[in-house]
Amino acid sequence: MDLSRRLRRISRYWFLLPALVIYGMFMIYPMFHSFMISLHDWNGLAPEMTFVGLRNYVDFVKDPISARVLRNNLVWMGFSLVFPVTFGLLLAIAVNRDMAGKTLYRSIYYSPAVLPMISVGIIWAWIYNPMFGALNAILREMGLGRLTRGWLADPKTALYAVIATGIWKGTGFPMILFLAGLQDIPAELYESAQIDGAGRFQIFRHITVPLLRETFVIVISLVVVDSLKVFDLIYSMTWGGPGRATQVLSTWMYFNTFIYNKAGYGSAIAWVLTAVSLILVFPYIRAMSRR
Amino acid sequence: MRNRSLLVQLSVCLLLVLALSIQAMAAPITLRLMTVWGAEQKEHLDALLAEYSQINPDVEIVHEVMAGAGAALYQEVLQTGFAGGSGPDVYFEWAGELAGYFIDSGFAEPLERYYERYGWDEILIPWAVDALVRNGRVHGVPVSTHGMTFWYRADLMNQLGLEEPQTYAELEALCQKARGQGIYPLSLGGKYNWQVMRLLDFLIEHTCGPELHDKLNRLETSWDCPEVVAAYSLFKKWVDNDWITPGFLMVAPDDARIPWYQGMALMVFEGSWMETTLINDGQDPYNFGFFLNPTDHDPVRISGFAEQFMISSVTPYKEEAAEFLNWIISREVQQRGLGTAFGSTGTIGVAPDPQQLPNTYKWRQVLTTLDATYPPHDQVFQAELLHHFFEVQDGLVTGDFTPESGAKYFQKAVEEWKASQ
Amino acid sequence: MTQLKTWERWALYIVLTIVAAIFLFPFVIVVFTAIRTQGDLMRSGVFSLPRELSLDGFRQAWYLGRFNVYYRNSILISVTKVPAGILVASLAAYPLAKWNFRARDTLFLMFLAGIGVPLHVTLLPNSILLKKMGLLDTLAGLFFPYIAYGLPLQILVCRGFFRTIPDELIDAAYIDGCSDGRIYWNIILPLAKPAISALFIIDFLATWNEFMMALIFVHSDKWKTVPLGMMYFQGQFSASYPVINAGVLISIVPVLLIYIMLQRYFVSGITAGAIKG
Repeated sequence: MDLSRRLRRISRYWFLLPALVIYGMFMIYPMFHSFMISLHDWNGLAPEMTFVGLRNYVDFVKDPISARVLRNNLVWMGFSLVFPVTFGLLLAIAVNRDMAGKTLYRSIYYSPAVLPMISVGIIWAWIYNPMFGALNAILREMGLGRLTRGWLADPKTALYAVIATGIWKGTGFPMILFLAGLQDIPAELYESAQIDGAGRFQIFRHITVPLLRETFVIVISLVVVDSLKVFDLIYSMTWGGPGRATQVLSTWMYFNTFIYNKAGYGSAIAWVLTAVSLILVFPYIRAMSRR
Repeated sequence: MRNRSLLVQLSVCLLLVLALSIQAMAAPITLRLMTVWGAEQKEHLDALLAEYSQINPDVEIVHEVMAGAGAALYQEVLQTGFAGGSGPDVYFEWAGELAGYFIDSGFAEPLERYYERYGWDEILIPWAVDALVRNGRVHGVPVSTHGMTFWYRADLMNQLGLEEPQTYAELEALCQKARGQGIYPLSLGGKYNWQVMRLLDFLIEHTCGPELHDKLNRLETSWDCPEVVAAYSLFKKWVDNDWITPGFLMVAPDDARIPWYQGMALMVFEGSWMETTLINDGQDPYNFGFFLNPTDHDPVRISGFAEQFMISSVTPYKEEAAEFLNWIISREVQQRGLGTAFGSTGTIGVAPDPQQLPNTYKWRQVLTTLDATYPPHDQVFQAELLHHFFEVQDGLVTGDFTPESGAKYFQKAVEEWKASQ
Repeated sequence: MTQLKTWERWALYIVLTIVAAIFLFPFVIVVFTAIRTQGDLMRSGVFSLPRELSLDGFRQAWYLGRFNVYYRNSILISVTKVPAGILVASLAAYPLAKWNFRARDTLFLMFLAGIGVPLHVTLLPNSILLKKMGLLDTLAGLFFPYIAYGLPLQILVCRGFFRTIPDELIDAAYIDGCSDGRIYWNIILPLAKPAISALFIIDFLATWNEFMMALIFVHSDKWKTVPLGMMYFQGQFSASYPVINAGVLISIVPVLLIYIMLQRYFVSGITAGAIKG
């Protein structure tokens, strides 16, 4: 064995070292810690902790509310995969060209992402307000008065109303990733395709989309995970209500951990969330990474 | 080249952060006080606390505020702080189960010895101190006493030819009349549930009476009883008759005032703190009044609660903390800070200017002389059970529960909860 | 990029403007709310045109939110953490994207796992850890957890974009005798400029707005950040909408500036020549 060659090979790994150290201390260790908590019955503060094995996980599977919580996450995911991704891509392509006001349009489409949650919660609650909301006013103007309602108060519409806000807020994020991805496509490809007489849609299908493959992998993975982790919007707009109609995994985890003081159960939900994200995302990324 | 200069800049910034992180030398003793009192109130309270350091140069009070988003965030910060070993020395808490969490987990110091030493029983409002007792011990001093009931707009009352109701039947008649003239009798904001709960709590007090209500709160009798079903039915009646602004379930509590100010609603169900809010909202306080909710029982009880300052059981500065509490609850300090640094008080004989705050002045008299209150349910039940209570409350509005099925469901939740304890 | 006919150009502008108006509407309400009085807002309705104009909300927000101190802290943490985090992530992403080694997939899976972890479960363990290290209640105490929490997303993004860089470029550099460090610094990073700018924008926003960790890890006034200051706009029993929204507007200025500065790197074709070699 050639020692110096081996040393050289190991020394290459300093690239990974800073990330591994910081990540190990401030992410892997807390994850491990929370896994230990998930095996206990604990109120989150008192010195006593009771080991209960996997009971918290069994309880989660047994509790009928869990199914609704998961369903809400999946609905969220479905809408997020369609709308913010499509809108983000279309807007990115539209503002990728050299045109007047490019910066302004790009900034406007990204601006919802910039607005802090505290304002988003207030303004959208006003828009959906049953008494003086903008949405109801618009519907009445359009002669659709019978559709007016308390959009967040009706269990049938509450989740979708929050999702609509999520689409508004969530389009800027894929848009900038797609904008970055579009820069990797050589202009020559478009030029030669045009010379070959390809139509605009053909160019989109056969050049833009395939060459954005890595960007799609990133965007779709992130949208899937973000849909499972969605917290802020639900927390600030409906607080999981009415009843429990809009509870999702992360708010349900939060309620259990910090409001019901069931730290063990809450940590178990957190691990379910982490596991589900990995199960959905990792095989997908791996499959897409094989060439 | 540009890349290298970036690297240099980066390391300079890093060093700067580290240098700035080195703690400055502090005063001999720092007492960390944590409250939920944000906005202007914090500024006023901080000014008052600075005075304390002038009188006691060896103690510095540092005031930290976690405001907003109801109680959830505050509890979380406090919990993580204590669990991680960086909790405050003195902290604000509500009464009941919210404070109970810290008491039961061993982070609140029992204060009887200080009550005795400083004679606090003499100066504090008795029902407020009673409201803080948990398992026979008291772990805090009341710093505020609040009551909640119906507030109305005087101009609308006159315009509709209505008067303050003395009985529940009169209240219903008032609602009917207001609604008949196109005005919603009550505007509520159901987000976080507690504003709607106030109405339901009142209806439970009305149908069950004080004795049964208290027994229900202590979970000593079944919730699946005719009186509770009657309260749920009345609540449904309020909803079905449009006596409450439609779609109120997810309206933010702050937004419930907008239809009220715009003359679309006659009343709100709010607390004794309301007058300051009215003034901040640019309203004339003389245009508003309140009446004690007519329960048809004797005595007429209203929803009342106290808030407290507690001493951490893990602070090394318990004596200094108690000394500080003794100063802050003193009549002189309370009187000076009332309306600015304090939204309310737990001390006897402290009152605001009757000209400036007529309603608050009236409230002070009610709250000091009150001999009975019932606690709001969010301080009675541990949160998990409370959320089942809220589930029924929301479900009666959305149609997921009938009064009967709601009472059954909650009783089942009570039994399951008791079994899990 | 394909050329548009004149009418197409106009149609595009019209569509883009309509979409922009919808996107901007809530923002307009934020601005309206910030420049009026609470009384006017509550009386006239939240969607009405402001009648009583007042910039008092801004003054109060600046003062209540302690922006003079908190702005400095937020800028300090953002201008250090964001470049440092992206540096660390891109260093790690290079081997994960471009080298073949046995532990690669395991390591990537481990980094990826972090994106699924809800922030709240890491708060308690991290605050205990920071306390032991003496970093609790300092900006440095935010620095490391922020980096750790940003890594999964950044590594995923960097890895994806690095993969689009042709292997031939790297092989050619090896043949020329370049070290791995030189390849990373002189080839990978410059080619990934659009991706790095996108990450910079995303991460600056996330860092600037980060609330929960700052809330738990920092309790002294002198180290608090802008999002914590916004808590002070709310009283115990009610909120002043003009102050909140004025504060929000003050707080987002740096994020918008960063965005406008960096979006110019999204210029199509910038890498075309480089990839041809």
